Amino acid sequence: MTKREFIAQLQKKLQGLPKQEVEERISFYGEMIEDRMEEGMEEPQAVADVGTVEEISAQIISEIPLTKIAKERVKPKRRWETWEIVLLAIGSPIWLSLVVAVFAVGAFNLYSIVVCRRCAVVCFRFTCCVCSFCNCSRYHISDYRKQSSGRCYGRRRCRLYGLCHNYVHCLQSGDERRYIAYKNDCFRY
Amino acid sequence: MDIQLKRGLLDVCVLAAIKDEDSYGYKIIKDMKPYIEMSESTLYTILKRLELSGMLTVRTSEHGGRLRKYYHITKAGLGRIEDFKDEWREVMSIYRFVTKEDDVK
Repeated sequence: MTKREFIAQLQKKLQGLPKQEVEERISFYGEMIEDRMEEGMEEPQAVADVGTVEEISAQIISEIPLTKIAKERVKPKRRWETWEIVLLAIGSPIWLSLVVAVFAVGAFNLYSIVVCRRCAVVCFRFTCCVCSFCNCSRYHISDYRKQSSGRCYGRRRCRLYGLCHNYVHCLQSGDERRYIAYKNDCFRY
Repeated sequence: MDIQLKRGLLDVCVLAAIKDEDSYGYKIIKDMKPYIEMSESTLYTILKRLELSGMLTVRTSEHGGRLRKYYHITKAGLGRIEDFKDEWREVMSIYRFVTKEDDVK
């Protein structure tokens, strides 16, 4: 076995142990092998003289105190660095407002989608901006109500998205436009 | 030799090996060979223990294109050798006592 093989095998056996301890000991053995070779010994003989990988690794493992091994295994808690905290504080107007905005938009949409009924003009219009995908052909007209203006107001549900849009379908002209029915009146948008 | 007895002697042997001049790992083993056998792993442990108790210091020096650790004895180490000599004067008197009986017989 060459010195390199010996060291590689030893390192493999001692995986998981405190790095510094392992490094120190391995370099010690490496030095021993080198010294023997300097005296004229052949590499395989020098490696054999130092001891077998099993013996040495067993002894090293038994010598390293348990507390050190345990410390190595336990993951250190990631602490906040000072500069990280400062950066976070400085940038807070930006990221904080972004977070609030995203949350607000999300809540808004959730409300509009889940509730899905006639709501205030602003709210609905906003939602419809978002889900204008609902201009799909897969729909059916669920009910109609005749209004005093003579126009029929129907509710259309887009099957794809399950969203409600208020449409006004003019039975007379066959014209169909998107309207918001609000307070018995229609607003086209 | 009895293992317990050997254990007590090894520390002092290593100190004696580096007493007169700084030495390195393999040389220490070679110097001790006529008197007492020691393996590399034992030596490492002893050197570590002596270093921690302040009886020797370590320095890394370049030798033949690689690094080598040299060990240097400290005052505390020399003190330990002196203590050992004193202890063993006592041991010698006990030895004389133990063997005296046999001689008489």
